[in-house]
Amino acid sequence: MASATQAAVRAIHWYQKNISANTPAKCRYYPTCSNYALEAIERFGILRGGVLAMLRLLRCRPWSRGGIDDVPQRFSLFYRYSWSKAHEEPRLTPLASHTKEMA
Amino acid sequence: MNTNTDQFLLDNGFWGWLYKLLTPVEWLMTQIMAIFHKFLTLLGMPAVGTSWVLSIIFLVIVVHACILPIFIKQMRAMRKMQALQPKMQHIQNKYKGKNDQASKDAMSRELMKLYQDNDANPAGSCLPMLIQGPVFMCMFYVLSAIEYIAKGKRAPLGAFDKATAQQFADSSNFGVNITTRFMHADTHAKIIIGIFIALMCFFMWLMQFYNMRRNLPRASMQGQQYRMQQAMTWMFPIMYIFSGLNFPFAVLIYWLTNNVCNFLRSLWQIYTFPTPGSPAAEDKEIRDHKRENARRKRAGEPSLEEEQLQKAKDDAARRETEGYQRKQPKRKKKK
Repeated sequence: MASATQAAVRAIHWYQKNISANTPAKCRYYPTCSNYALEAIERFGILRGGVLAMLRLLRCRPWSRGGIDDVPQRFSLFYRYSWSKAHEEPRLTPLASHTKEMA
Repeated sequence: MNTNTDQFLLDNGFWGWLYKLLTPVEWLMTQIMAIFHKFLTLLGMPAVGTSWVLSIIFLVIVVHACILPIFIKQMRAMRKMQALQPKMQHIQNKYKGKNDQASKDAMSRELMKLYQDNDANPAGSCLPMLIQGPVFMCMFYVLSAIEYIAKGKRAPLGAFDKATAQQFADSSNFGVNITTRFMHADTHAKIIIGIFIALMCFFMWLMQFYNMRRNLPRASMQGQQYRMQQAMTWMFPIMYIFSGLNFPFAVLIYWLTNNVCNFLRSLWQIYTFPTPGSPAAEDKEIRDHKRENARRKRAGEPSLEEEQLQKAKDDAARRETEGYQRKQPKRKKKK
């Protein structure tokens, strides 16, 4: 399982370096889908994180609103709905724990 | 393309596979045409002839009506983005000269929040354009297939069984059978089809030309890139001449109507939602000014000019009494 996670992370890094870097920035969401996927897989593992990333990709449609959409603190497939226990208001500043990871 | 008339070549190879995927759209198209055709025959039009041509035109209008809402929504989004420009600049100034990851992160977050709160998004979709491609392909496929369905060389498609396809294939417009291609036509048909191709290319060119002349900001109306764009307005219509020679007359009718519709839509777009800084936008400003004045006149309010004059007069009077120097704010006396 660990190797699958590594492979996925490497694939996303490859995508960011070789494909995403060559196209103009055009995202409806923040963080971008690839960054979201990286974080989700890192936090929840390849299966649960992968599902979150897939759902995120499906959310990028012409008529979707976009905006800030972070990986939830606790895992839930329905964290986007306000009735969900995992629901979070969009944050204007990244959490301290996240910035440490990014640096 | 059509030398071997016994076999429908579009069903082979990669394209055959692609058209197979698009079958639902093709089916829907044949149904729309057939229903409108039934309606026309109900009104007393002959089943063979102009009624089929009108059905093709009706199909174009249906397709455009489906695309229009997306189109309008996109233009609204663009307008909202323009209105948000000052606020965006405010945020960008706030993070000016900060290049560390955390600041960049925070700036993107704030911008995203702004877009989200105002229901605007910079990632406009190119969906309308993406839809038109496959739709045109389906149209081309269906109209090309009819000939073969009528001959019994291909299985029926949607509403077009052999008899309906035969009716369709027997129809003609301006004395030209609508399954004719330029390459296999007599002189009369060649002239008519030639005129259609010319009109089609002309409308395409006119749309691009008008767009460039009216809807580009004056600042970008010069230089290498502008000249490239100007050359491009000629390239596509000329390319279409060659493909037009290979298409059945029915497809040309569809295409001409489609280009006319596109042209009308872009006329309307340039009139109501011009790009800022373009000649069309300048005209719109003048138009809006006049309209506002007319509204004020009806409401009995002073016009924009009168209001400005009054303000200037007030300012002058104030200067007379108080002097030109701006007064420094005075500290309130402490009790």
